Amino acid sequence: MKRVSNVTMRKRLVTVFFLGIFIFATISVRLGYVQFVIGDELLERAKASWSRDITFEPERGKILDKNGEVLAENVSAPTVMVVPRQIKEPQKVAESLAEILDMPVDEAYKKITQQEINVRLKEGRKISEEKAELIQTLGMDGVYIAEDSKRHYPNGDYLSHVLGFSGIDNQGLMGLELYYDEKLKGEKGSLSYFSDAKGKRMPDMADVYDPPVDGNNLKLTIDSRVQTIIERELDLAESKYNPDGALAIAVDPDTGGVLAMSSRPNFDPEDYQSVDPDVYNRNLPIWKTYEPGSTFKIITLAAALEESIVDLHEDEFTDNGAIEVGGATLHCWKSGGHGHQTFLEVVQNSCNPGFVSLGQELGKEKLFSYIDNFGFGNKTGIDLQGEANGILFNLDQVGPVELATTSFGQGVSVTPIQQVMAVSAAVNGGYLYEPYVADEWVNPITNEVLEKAEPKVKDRVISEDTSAEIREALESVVAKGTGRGAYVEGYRVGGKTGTAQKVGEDGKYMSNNHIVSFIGFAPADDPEIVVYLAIDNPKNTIQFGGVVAAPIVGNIIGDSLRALGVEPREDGLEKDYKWPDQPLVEVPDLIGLSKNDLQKYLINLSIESNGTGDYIVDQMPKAGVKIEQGEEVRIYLGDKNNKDKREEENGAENE
Amino acid sequence: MKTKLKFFDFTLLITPLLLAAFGVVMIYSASMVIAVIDEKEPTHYLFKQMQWFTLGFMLFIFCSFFNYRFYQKLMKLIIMGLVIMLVLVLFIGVELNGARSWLYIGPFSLQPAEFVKLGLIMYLASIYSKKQTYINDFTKAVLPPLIMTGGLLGLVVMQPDIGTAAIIFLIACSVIFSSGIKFRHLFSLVAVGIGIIGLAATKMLNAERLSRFTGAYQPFSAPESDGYQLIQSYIAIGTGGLMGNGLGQGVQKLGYLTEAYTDFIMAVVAEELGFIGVMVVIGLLATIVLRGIYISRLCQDSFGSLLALGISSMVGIQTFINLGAITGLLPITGVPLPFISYGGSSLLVLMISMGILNNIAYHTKKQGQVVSANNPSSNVEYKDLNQGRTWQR
Repeated sequence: MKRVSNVTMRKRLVTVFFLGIFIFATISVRLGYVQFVIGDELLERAKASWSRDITFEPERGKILDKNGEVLAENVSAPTVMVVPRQIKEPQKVAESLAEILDMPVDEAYKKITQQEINVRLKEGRKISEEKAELIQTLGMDGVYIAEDSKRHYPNGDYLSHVLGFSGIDNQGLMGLELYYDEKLKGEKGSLSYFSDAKGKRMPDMADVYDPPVDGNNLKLTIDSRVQTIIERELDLAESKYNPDGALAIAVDPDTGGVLAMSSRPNFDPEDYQSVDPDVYNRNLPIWKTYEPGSTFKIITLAAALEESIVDLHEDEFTDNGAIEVGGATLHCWKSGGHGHQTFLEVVQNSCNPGFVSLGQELGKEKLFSYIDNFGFGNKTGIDLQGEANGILFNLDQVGPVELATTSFGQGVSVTPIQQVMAVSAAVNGGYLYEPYVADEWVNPITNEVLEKAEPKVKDRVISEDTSAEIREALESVVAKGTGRGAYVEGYRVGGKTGTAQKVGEDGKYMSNNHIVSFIGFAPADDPEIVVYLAIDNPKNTIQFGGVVAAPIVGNIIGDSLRALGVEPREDGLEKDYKWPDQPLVEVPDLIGLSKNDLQKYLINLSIESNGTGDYIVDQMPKAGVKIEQGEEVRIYLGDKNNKDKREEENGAENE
Repeated sequence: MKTKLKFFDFTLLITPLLLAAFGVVMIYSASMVIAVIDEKEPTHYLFKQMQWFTLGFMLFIFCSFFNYRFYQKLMKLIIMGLVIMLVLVLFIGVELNGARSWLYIGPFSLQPAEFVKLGLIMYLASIYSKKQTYINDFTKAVLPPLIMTGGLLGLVVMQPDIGTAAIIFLIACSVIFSSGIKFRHLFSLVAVGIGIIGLAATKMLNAERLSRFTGAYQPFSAPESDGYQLIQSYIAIGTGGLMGNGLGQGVQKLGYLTEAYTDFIMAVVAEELGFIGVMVVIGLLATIVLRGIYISRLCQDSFGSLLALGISSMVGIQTFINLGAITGLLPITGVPLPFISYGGSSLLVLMISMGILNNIAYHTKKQGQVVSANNPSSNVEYKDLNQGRTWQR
């Protein structure tokens, strides 16, 4: 027997012994670590790996107008489903599907030969009925048509920018669909059952059923009757003036709820891919910023009245056609000026120098604090995507010229919605509301109202008295002044025209390219609706807000109030029938006539006289020129033989 | 008989049987669903393992009584048998999982590589004990057995069964280390060994084998492919907790855990019997390994000592590589867990080895008894040490 010889060997055996202990300790520690330290996380992974979920898609909430009219709903859409194991001739099936679904053959082949129980093709989702029928007639084994649901907008491009659209997975992508996606989409449900790796159910594990929760229905402040009127008027305006763009908003001034909102160019939410993203990304009433022009004078007026620096009836102003401010000459839109007028007439005539003087009286701090209080320069907070801030002068940089231009709406940049909310505040007693579109959330099954939006007053900006004065002044603008196109019998429309110059790419104002606008409200004693309309660069017309925009707003307000069932008023201002709405008339040759002879010629024109004398020595416009009825013809009086012509200089473009 | 029995080490007698019996139970639990999925009787693997266990038990008893010293005389025969089997398997072996490792002999399928483990331990123990006296002479004592070792390893690698080859290599290292060769020689040997393995690795290593490494260290980077087995193993272990879900209540064996009844059986144990169950198994395995090394330390005969050490190392190394793999410490190489995993050859070799170990323990105890009877005041261990020292020539 060989005996254990060596001390080394014995020592080595001891080493091995301890190595053995060490190894077993290591393994035990590692096992403990896996079991206890990362165990919970692993359990979660295990559940995910064992469970097979059958998902149940929730129904996306409908979008309704305030009267329950459906604006967005769901319809079923065919979807191609493939069960790879059942396919007998994959190559042939791949070719057919690729052809119909317009996808590469090899990609289709790869998809339908996947080791999955069933496969959905991306290109085969929510396809047209025609394609679905085509696939069904081929009768391929393992290819099925399943029903999926897709968003449907029954009115096409109606209210499209506000509604937005949702994508292939019924996920909101734009507009209200995006803004309220969380509430509209509901919650997915699922039936989870535990299964072994081959998909067989595990006997001892309970199934878990989570029912889907349908999205809630969204009721808007939008009134489809008003929206329809606005869409119609914008369509008409578009065909008549072929503008670069157009927009309109109608708001309930007592709540801030938006009654209607529309933009041109427009798009169909179900076919949004076919238009330039700029079209659907730009909801013009909240996105577009531009110099408002004369509609902004309402703010200057409100500030002046609230600060009691002017009495519209008593205080007077003489407009010579231009005003000197800080070394610069600011012209009135009207060549030669409006002459001597009360401040009410300054408002009616939209006289720039008159408003400059009001702005100067106020001073920049006061005027700008009112502008700020009325909400300009900040987002209104409307519940829609893509609202802009607008740009105001920095107060430190406001000199006399900036103060003057701001007071008649130049040099500031605002959004339409800001103007609408500001004017609403000016006419509703001074309450600046936060505009909103989503009014109620309704349970789709019980119709129970789950949530109701409350009108939100952001600020009280002027007093009720001031507001009443503004309403009166603006009513007279429509009855007697530049806004007469918006006059509606019986509804006491008030409003203000605007003709805004656009800044071209060279940084200068463009000529013959204006945004003409009108902001109107009615009835003037208790406004129910405020409507703003702007048309960008209307063609084949005089680009004046009073000419293009006012009549459209008149139509919108008249039809809307009738549709809303607002009682007609009787105590409104009579329209000044010096300006009936008639076709263009030819200016007669008046030169040489005496003042007394004028009467019989000027049935449908207004006259503004300059100078003194009994005879007419010159006229503007010249004889034979066609002008709108009610437009002014300026005559120059003098002695009979004095035929000197007086040259006119072009005035400021601003109305 | 009674006097004979008292020299047996009861711990070493009972523990392997406990483990093997436990293994049969766990194999049933882990395999019944898989058997059904593969359209076999649920008891298919249970019965097969029970057959192997019965055969193994008989060999265990036989080897326990068969004087281990006799193997030295059979050495040439054993080596020849192994080489023949290894060569045969390369030609008429059955390929499974990409390796030609199986020999079918009648109804039995055998893995020659499993028997190589034990055969090589015997060979190395025999040769190094013979050369104990000049163990420090590298060319005469150390080198020749290495050539034989290299040859056997090469044949296993050719199947290719890298996992078993690695184990054989480690067992050889362990025996050579314990044989008391000089550290200088040992280091150069290890260096050469690693060099050869490295060379072989670059030749053998392909993307599939490499991915096992990434699978072990970043399983969640490829949860569906390379990391799949480990993740499923993690999940099984993690869900077990302290007490487990109960015997037979595991879910991961239902097709998620591949090889649930073979290499990954400990993951099933962890899931069903919890940390406690796992620790019992590890405890039993550790008992065998440490007890074996202890016997090796006590054994007066250098052949018996190295043989016991080699057998203990075999169990320990396999346990470490198997559990290391299922817990993500080591790459997955397909090494079964001693006694527990399904597999006839493995169990047979282990039962034979345990028989041999028991026989060594028997003789060691008997010897110690004789010695302590001669000198009752000293205990066995000190006696050994003294004898070891005084025995030096």
